[in-house]
Amino acid sequence: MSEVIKKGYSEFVRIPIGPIHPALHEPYYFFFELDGEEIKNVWMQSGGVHRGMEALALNRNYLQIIPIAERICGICSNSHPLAYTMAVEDAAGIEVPERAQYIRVIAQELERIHSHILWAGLGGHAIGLDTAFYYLWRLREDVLDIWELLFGGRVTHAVNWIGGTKKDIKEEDIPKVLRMLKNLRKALPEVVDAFLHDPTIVRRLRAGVLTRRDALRLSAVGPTARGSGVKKDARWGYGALAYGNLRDDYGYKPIIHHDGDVYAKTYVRLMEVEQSIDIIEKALDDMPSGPYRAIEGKAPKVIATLKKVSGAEGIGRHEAPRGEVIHYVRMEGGEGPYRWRPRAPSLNNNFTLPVMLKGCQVADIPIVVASIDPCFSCTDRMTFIDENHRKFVLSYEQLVQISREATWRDA
Amino acid sequence: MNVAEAIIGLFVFPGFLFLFIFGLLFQGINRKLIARLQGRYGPPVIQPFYDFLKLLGKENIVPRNANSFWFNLAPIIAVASVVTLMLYIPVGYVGPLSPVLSSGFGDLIVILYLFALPAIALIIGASASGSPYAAIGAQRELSMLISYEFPLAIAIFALAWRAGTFDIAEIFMKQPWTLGGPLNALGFLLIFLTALSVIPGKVGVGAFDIPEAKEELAGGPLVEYSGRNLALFELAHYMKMFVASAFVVALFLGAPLSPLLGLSGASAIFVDVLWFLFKVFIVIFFTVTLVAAVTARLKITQAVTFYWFVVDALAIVGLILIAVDHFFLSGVV
Repeated sequence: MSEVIKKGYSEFVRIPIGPIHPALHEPYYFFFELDGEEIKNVWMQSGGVHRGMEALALNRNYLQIIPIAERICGICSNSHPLAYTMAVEDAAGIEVPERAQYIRVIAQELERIHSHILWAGLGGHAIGLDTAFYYLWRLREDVLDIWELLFGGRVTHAVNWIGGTKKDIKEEDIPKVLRMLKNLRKALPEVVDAFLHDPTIVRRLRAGVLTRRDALRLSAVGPTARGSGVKKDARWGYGALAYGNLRDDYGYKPIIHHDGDVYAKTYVRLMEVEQSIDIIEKALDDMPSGPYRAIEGKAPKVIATLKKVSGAEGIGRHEAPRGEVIHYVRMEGGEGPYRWRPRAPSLNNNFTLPVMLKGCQVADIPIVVASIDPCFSCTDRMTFIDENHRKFVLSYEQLVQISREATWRDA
Repeated sequence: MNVAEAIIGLFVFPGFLFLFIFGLLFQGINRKLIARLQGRYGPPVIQPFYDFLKLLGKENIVPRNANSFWFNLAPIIAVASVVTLMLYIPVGYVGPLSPVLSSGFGDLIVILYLFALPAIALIIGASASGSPYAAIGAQRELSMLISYEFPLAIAIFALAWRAGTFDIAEIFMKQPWTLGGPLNALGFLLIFLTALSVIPGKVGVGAFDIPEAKEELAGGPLVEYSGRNLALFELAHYMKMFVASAFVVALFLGAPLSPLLGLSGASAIFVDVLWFLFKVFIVIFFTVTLVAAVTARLKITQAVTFYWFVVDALAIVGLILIAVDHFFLSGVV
């Protein structure tokens, strides 16, 4: 990419977007070649916000990683710790009590509602409709209040605990949750109508097409893939937690749309909000009583149990609002994991951006970039710096070589 | 033309001071109303005055690869052209303190050209600033200018042709929509709608906030401007909002209130100016505030298509209706 920028003459107008630009809410670097308003070429580069999360985690014990995982992404602040705890439970073979599974589903679907509403607001902002932004963020506020009521935190919720949840849902809080959901359900049709039928909004959302073929080729996940007609939803496909029961009882299906443009992704997200409201209502209804933790006792007890596990690997797969989150944990005894590797959905989805942006207009950049609901900070995992403190980028071959050397075992 | 009257006209009323106060005040009200429509409190009504003063006190940066002469001159051209424009607009009455109009110089073609000047100044300033964002913004501003000037010109020529004069003061007195039958009034309604739909494009709000587009171009033509230059451009922008609405009011909704109340002299002028301001406010509310609150920004191609096909069709149908009424129904040539 730097060679591209250094190349002096070009027949096209060249503009950089990022790392700091109103269209992006996180640092990421795009470089465009334009013919008038039309985008001819796109380059992109990550690496603006490497925070060393994985290295940080290696000095912590299993329970102390949960708050770190919450801070990978400010909006998927339940998905990451959930996938992490699922990975640890998978490795250690801990069976999660059924009540905890339902509480996790409720927490997760609340997160999906707030994330999708937040996205729709930002989408409105990206196309210059600030009214939608203010209106939707007001709706989101009610969801945050429910978070606070149920679990104590508005942004980082601290719901998850290895082998269950940190807190139980109290009976007396349930009517308040149901009332919030009812209000949301009443306010939602107006929003759906505006986004799917308003002439100026629809005109702007018809941009940035990702074909089904490209979605599969680039292994897009979440609403980005579902907007292109790929039936890919870890909740219903994988059926972990209480999702399996809910799917079998009520026949939930992934919501898909075949158009592949921003409109399709908007449709998928807004319909998922409705689906999530439904899921929470059903889950609150079906939630069995019983214990909400597999391991009785406080933190030292949990750590002591996990300490005994050695030579085990676990995978936590979970559908976050942006797509599938995968956490890998390797346990080799000790108080913390030997290796913890989270993969955020934006890592997959970011690479669909050049495909979608090519052929769009400059005016489409903010909404098309926003359409994958990017979380650039979540994806930065590595940065290479040489002895002169210069950053450099590894090629594909170099990366493969390094990984082979690192994982090579003599037979 | 009396020199003292001309100076007062240019600097106090209806020129700079009047425009400064009401341009910024109406922008403050506009912002407040948008905020209320969006469900938030919004800034105090006099916030644009604070903003203007604050910007005047800020550092004025000229980028290294800018052409500093044109870069600094453009905001002054913008403000000067809008203030000059105000002299050509009857503020609810024609008489004392409207030197240009009372001496019969209020020519619609001059007004049409003066209206294009603030946009041209913005394009000059943007092109001189040497930023790729500003270049794209200037390109968009030019496309917008090309798209909305044509329907506006049709509307104005229809009006002038029916009134038989290009003198805005005379058109203001005549109220041409009353000159013929119902078909004439319908035709005038259509060209009135044309003129109204040109205002958001000229001011650049809501669906037509395309050149500045803060999410796309980070301010477009204004991206390199700061301090005093930015203050002047902002001022020109708010004044333009006032003047564009005032122009439409003077042409189509000019009817003064004082004859109905039986007033004369200074009190009549006072009442007429207030009545005029009220009408300007109503026009701003429908063409700026509401458009800003309920529409998403269009792409430049969509905006040009809208003006060239929808608004032009509206203007041409209006023109045909007026002509039919004039030649076939009224029998007066």
